[in-house]
Amino acid sequence: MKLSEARPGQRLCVIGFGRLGRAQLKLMDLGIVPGVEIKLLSRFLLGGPLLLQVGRTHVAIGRRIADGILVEEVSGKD
Amino acid sequence: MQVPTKIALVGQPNVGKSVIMNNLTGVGAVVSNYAGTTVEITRGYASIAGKIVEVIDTPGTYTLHSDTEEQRVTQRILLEEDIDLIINVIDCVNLARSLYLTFQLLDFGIPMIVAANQADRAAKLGIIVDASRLQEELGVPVVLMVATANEGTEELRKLIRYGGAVGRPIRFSEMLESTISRLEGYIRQTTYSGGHSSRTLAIHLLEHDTVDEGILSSHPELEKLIERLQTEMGADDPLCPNCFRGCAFCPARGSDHPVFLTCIERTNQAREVASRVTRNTHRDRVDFMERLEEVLDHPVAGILAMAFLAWISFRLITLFLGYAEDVVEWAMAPIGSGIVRIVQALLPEGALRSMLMDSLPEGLVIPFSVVFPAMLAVYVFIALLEDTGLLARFAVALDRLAALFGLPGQSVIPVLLGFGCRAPAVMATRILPDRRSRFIATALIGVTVPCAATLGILAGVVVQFQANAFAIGATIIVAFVLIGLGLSLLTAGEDTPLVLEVPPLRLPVLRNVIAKTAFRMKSFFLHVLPLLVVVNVALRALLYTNVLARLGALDPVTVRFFGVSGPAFAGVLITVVQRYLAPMVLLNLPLTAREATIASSMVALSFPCLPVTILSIKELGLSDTAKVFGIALLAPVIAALVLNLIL
Ligand SMILES: Nc1nc2c(ncn2[C@@H]2O[C@H](COP(=O)(O)OP(=O)(O)OP(=O)(O)O)[C@@H](O)[C@H]2O)c(=O)[nH]1
Ligand SMILES: [Mg+2]
Repeated sequence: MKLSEARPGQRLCVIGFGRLGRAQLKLMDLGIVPGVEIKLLSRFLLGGPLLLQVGRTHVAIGRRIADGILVEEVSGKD
Repeated sequence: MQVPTKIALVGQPNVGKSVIMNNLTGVGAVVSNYAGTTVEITRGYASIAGKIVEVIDTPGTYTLHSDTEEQRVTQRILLEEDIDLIINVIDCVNLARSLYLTFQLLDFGIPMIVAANQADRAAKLGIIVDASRLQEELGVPVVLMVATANEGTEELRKLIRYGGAVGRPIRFSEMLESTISRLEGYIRQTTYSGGHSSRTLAIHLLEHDTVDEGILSSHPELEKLIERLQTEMGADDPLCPNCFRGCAFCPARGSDHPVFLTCIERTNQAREVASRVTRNTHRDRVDFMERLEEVLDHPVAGILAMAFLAWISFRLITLFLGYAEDVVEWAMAPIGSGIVRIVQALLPEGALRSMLMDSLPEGLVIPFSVVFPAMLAVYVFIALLEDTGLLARFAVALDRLAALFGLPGQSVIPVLLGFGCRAPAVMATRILPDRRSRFIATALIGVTVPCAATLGILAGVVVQFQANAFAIGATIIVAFVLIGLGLSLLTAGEDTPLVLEVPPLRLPVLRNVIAKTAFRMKSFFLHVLPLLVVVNVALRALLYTNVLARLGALDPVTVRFFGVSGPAFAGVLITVVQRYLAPMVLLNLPLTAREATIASSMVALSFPCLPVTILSIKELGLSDTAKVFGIALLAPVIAALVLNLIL
């Protein structure tokens, strides 16, 4: 599914990218690459940004970028 | 090894480079808790083993492509400055991500030391970094540091003496490595000598963007190389020939595009190394700051909490200003009368004496009684926002709102800094991802954001003439919104969506808040105080000699259309030099409350002052700055026309 469709609190594994162009590099520089586990912390209202936990950092990304990140839910304990 | 002569501090944003810079050189680089504090390089000098060594603090960068200004700035330092030692500052808490850049730096083949900073926060989170194992992995000396407590500085100095070491670059997969060595072969056939090692250049070519246009144009042999590669490598080559320049990511290739392969492998190796050199210990409790983060990051509770914080801060600032003015005025009174006595003693009776007796003390007292408290309050407030990490959170929370103006949420940062002083705010627009948003932000800052000094003196005008503060405030806000909406509609281009690291919440370090506030106010007062005194004297002279009164000839026009007298209208124009001088003019004129309201609104929305103009020319170029001036000409005139009709 798209990251923008995930629920807050879900742990997710990045599996690929849609058409993001250069923005994909920016995400990768922040450690968001296929195979990495991230957690969706919250979604701001009215189509606002999504807040992710990547490793130990928090990263906010706009909705349009979240549409271009493909993820899978990771099951198992936190 | 010899003591190096030129050192660059390089690392990802918000890891603590500027703190280390200050520890080594005492230069006073600005330190804040958000990514992108340092946007321009700072130079300083450290004394190492009796030798004076130049140290360069660079803007933090996640990577060394040349997509953004901070990447280009840092890259150019490494390529063009004869750096003989890199101190790569990394964050123990985010070791894996930090090492990504470390690996890129290793490719450069410049001696390096790794300063693994924020070891205290890592320990708190249960992360223990083994420096000696990291040292083995990278092949360069590693020192653990807590820069804010000055821990590790001595050891770092000792390591600097020995000059660091050229480490071992990571090896990519066979496919990538063979392509890299093929490219290196081509590169060695050229005469290129621009500072890249052939490996770095090969990898940069592989990642396609990266040879920035400036470097390309000064090295025609690189242009030729790229042309040659484009003709010699066929379409079925793992390297699509288009990738060397301007490739728009051929949709067919997806994430196995060579640009991404190096990034993915680098990230994976960084994660492996990080996990080999760190140990996780048990943490027994989640600390208070993390709990608070959870609240602030909540989409509803967080926004409510931040709105509440903004309101409280506003109340506190106004409360403080109310008290401070009286206190400062009381404290300044003896100085004022002292000056009057000196003037009396030195000058014979006459027009000059009475003019100076009025204008000198006023020129000195006003900056202190109204400007000083306003600046102090605004700067302390800004410093607290910066250092706690709230500023970046406001940026995220306001992202949707900013989008209406064609801006990403990050623009909250420069706009807010503008309430202190607009010159560094214009510099800070560099953190914005594209030209369009930098233009809109600069226009908004240049035209509608009143700096602390202006606000302070305008407050003086409001008090003196009982002007309508609400109308002035509303005018500023309406203008901000209209100009933002207008520019976003008029300028072409899709807005770049937000990608922003949100820093951890931290307790502000008092020493840093004081140092930063003092630093920012000092530079202001050094320039302003003399200027205000001179201008006040000059104004008085104009008043006494009735020159200003002649501008009264303009009254029929200005009063009819704009509702202010000719001299007040002319006074507004002085904002071209410095905005806070204009309210000084107003203070010296006989104004009605209504006139003062309109004139103050015009002052609040007018030309960017001289320093801001110079910076915007530097940052945006002449033609965009001219557009900002166009807006600055229209905004106050339209505001006055409208206010004259509705007030
Ligand atoms: N706990 C802790 N905080 C630190 C340490 N070093 C720096 N900080 C904090 O980290 C934040 C960033 O510090 P800076 O020196 O401005 O970081 P920088 O690397 O120069 O950042 P940019 O200029 O944005 O690239 C500040 O809030 C510092 O107080 C440390 O060793 N421990
Ligand atoms: Mg810095």
